[in-house]
Amino acid sequence: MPKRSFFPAFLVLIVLSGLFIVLSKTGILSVPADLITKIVSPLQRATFNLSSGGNKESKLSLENKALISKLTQMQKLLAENSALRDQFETSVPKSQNLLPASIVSAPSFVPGVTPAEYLTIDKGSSDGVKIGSAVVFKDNLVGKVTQVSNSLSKVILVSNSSSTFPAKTISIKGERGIGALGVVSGLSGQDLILDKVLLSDTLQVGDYVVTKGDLQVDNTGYPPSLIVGKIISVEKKASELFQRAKVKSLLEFSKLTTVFVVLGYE
Amino acid sequence: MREKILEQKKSVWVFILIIALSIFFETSVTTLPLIVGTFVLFAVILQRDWVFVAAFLSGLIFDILTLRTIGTTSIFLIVLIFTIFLYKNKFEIETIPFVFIACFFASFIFLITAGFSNLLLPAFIVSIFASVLFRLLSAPLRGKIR
Repeated sequence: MPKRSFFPAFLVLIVLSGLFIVLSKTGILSVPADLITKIVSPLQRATFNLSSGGNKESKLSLENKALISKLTQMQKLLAENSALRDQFETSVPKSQNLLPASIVSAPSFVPGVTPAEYLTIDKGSSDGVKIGSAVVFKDNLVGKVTQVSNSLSKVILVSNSSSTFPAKTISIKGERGIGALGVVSGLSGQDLILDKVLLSDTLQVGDYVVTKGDLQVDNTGYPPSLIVGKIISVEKKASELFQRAKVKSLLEFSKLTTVFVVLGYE
Repeated sequence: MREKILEQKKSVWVFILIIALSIFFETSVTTLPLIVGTFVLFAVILQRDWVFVAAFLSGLIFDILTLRTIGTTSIFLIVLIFTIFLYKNKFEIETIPFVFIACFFASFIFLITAGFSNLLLPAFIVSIFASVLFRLLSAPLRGKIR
């Protein structure tokens, strides 16, 4: 068999790939990319729905989440009332501008068994989604948009190890006021860590963790008082500077089929 | 002669189907680097220059569906296949150990560039998958396409 040289094919295709990278960065390829996405994403969504096995949230679970959401809102209102009476601070309850989005894919190591690494949703820059937009589900924080195309967006979950954001605790045991301040980092699955909490603050198992809020001028970032999860264990050592707590998200990300992108705050 | 051409066409369709399924599953269901394993496998079995073209096109589609910079996966796959073809001149590459090792290292590097934290186990699983497929496909496909 005559010896073939593969170098010309290799060279031509490397140069072409480099050209595509440059064109992609300038945004010229967004229209054909969008077309391919629109053709394939219904199939992706169908495959994702099949692989998640129709594992939807039960009615009881949804009602539970709604009740927890009302409890945290009640605590927030109590704190605001107290602040108004004491004339320390005022705040105006704000409503969010939400865009519903279907989950197209949620790849995981073992589909349906291990937690998803990220989500892909069927809304993109043409719908107003920006990099950094928060993604929620019934007042529960899901994650943040990290990549956007014309019609799709990639959402990093709060449980992803690269996710970190400031948060605070709220006690549902009848104590008023905002509890401890800290930084939440993702672990894996539904688990997160609330770290950098002062030893003088009180962390209790059963307290809820909500976002502190880091909204930017362009409405990206996390709005305040979104439910992150519930404290399931506390680690406090007098010899360390900070205490930490393990937090479990109230959401089972693999069971979500629809989420909401926060487009703005009014 | 005509029968041989028909058999070759069928084999090419098998190749295209496996590639399409790899892209589809990796972009919607799993984070296993199936596309890397598939191209290591077919580079070893087929050793034709149109595998480069298939890798280029597959990489473009993969990048579009995973919202990466279009062209990055293509470059990775093309360099991977070229490296495998270079090894062809020095070693016997049509063996299960070579497929396993090439697939493992390629998957590992691919997962690092993709930013995943879980590296070893997915690379190992894809290497096993590629080795098993190599065992099943190497004789039938090689005889028909080369």
